[in-house]
Amino acid sequence: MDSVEKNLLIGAFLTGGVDTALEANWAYQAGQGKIAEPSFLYTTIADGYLPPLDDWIASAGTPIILYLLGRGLKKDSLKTMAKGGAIYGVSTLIGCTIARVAIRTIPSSYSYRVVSASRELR
Amino acid sequence: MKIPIISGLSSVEKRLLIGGLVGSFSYYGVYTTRYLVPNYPPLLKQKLDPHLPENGELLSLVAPPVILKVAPRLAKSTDTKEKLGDIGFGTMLYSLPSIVRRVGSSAAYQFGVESKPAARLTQPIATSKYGLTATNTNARATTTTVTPTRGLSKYIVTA
Repeated sequence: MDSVEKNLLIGAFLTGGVDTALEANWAYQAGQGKIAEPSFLYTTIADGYLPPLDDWIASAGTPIILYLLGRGLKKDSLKTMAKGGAIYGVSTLIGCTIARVAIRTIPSSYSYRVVSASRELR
Repeated sequence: MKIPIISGLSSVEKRLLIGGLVGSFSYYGVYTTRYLVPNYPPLLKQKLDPHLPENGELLSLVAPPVILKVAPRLAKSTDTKEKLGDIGFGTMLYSLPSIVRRVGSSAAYQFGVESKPAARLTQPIATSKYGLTATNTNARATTTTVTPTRGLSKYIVTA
């Protein structure tokens, strides 16, 4: 694995790490039967057809911050990390959006949707 | 039609992105199927451990990078090997952090359930004179006396 691949992987893990932290916070509080705090982080967007705010913060926000840091500090390694994070983030947002739209639109899924204690598709 | 962001990417970056999308579609494909298909295999719904995500989710995250890691070895052309290698690495960029995310969030959910404060106080154990006990919330502490008697009636029950 060369240095570019390492930086791509680090960027993907950084973005995934932010995503994990936000989702684990939600999941822990959901496990306790509470509404996750701070609640603004988990705001639903477009009536639930798009991923909630925390997914956007992690998947889009982290790579953008990495890129801006790389540009500001003039470090190519940070820019490469931003690319790794962007590959993870873009894939997550596109996949999650398609899944949410499918589950919310297909009528036969109604009963499954209601009974599911889904954390992904909250 | 050219999309500016996509056309600005190099061919390697495009392959990495395709790989990431392959991983994502694999995961969310299985995830969506789980909620849409009534006959979704129960084995895939099970968990190896309560702190882990469902088997189907884990499989959908592990399988694509493994397959795309093996695939270049089977390809004959060097060019194809290189392309498959890039796509495979792109899949790893999505799948590996996603495994961490899913395991982390499933474990956090389980820890939340385990640390959940009791919803109501446990009621005292109801005991009857027959030695029956019940801890159920519907149990009431009552005593029942059954007295054998004489005459036509078999029993007189007083409570």
